[in-house]
Amino acid sequence: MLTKIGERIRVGVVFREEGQKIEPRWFLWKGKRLTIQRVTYRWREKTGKELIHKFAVTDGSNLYELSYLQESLLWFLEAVETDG
Amino acid sequence: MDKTIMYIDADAFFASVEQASRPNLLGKPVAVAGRNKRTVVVASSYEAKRLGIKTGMTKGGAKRTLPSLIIVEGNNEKYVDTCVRINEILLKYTPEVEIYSIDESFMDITGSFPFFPSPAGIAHAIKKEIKDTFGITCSIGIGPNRLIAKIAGESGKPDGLVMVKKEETRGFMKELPVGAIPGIGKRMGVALKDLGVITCGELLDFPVSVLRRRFGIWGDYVSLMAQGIEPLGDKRSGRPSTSIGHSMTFEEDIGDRATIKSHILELSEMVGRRLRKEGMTARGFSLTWRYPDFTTYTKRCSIPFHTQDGKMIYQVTGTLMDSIRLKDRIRLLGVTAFNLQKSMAISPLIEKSDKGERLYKVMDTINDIFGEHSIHRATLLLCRKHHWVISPAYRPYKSYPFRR
Ligand SMILES: [Mg+2]
Repeated sequence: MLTKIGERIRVGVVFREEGQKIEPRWFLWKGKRLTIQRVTYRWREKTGKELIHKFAVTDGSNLYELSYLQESLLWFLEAVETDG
Repeated sequence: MDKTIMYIDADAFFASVEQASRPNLLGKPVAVAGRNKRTVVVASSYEAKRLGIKTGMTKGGAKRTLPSLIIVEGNNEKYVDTCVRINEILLKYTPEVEIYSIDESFMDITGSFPFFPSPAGIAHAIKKEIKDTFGITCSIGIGPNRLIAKIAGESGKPDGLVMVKKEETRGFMKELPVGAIPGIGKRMGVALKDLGVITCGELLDFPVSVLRRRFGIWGDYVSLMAQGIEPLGDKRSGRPSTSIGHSMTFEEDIGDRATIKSHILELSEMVGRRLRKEGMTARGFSLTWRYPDFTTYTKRCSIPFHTQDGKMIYQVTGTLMDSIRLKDRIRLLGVTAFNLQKSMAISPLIEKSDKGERLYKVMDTINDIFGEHSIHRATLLLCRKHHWVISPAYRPYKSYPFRR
């Protein structure tokens, strides 16, 4: 089931290739540190001038959608998808 | 070196992207549809296709056909971005890449061989990179022209690679059903069958004069295509789109004329904005409407000059609506601009007649910076309460920094 969240979160990220490659590794949510096992998909969206990097990631049990606002340097947890 | 064209088509594109994003959907019947509960299925996974799901089914109809179907909401921006990145991969092999649709491209690789081993080598490398990067598969066709490349690609779906050399063209085409030729739809297929023509080979042997009498110039075209010849030649790729349109399906059927017309204004403004974004102007406009029973009508009108002004477009499309006697409520409306040409800046002949143009310039700038629909005509407040039908390259988004 997909649940929209839309919360600002703190994320541990590795930026590689002069910041071209963005690799989120873990994030803090609801007081827990969730380790990202795999980025399943990445794409870019645009709102006006703001470039948003989107990531579908999994911690092994659930699927999360994260977004990174390149201009504002903010991370959001957009949605959570739990099995079933 | 013979001309070598490669056709790349992502398999079940939108559905595959969703399956790649959400591994729990892998191997399951998945359909992609708009957010609005009344939009239709725009793509489905091979698992769903196999069980009878077709593009264009309503969500409810699809669910009735296959109760285990998983319907996911499409995300245009995700598909457009993937399309862009796929084409970036293709550009590594030749600068001659033509984006044919959101999930299909043609490449002219004739000049690529001093640098790369072989057409098949390029195809395998592309398939691998697409699979590794996106987790989706594609089908590739290689041929002496776009027509053969496309037919070859289609014949190998999914995850196929079919190569047809110039001298193999006739043999390859012979056994194919006429429906494999792009442009021969269901109706023409039936008409040809009535003439006893089922395969391209039979079409090839059929007298052109009879085909011409029956189908007009299309008779000549399909006869050429059955031989593997592109009737319109290798028309320069990158041709500008021939029309630009938007449509919307409503959450509930609407019957009130004022509401209908405010949506027509909205659609006209959207079309105007797209025209301006793409640097085009248009001189023909059409209005499409669909009744709850899915019967669909289109009325078109041309004006004597080119425009990219949403309000001007609305004057045409709104007038078209005024001339229609509606027999029922409406489920879908669409506005399309055609007869396009590149826009050229012309200085206004009459002073201040460019007021509208300047207004649009300012509105466009504001919407570029703050996001679509940050500023719009007040009339459109009447119709802000619906979601958009999924349509290529268009999906307004909430303004992020301000949302919470
Ligand atoms: Mg496809």
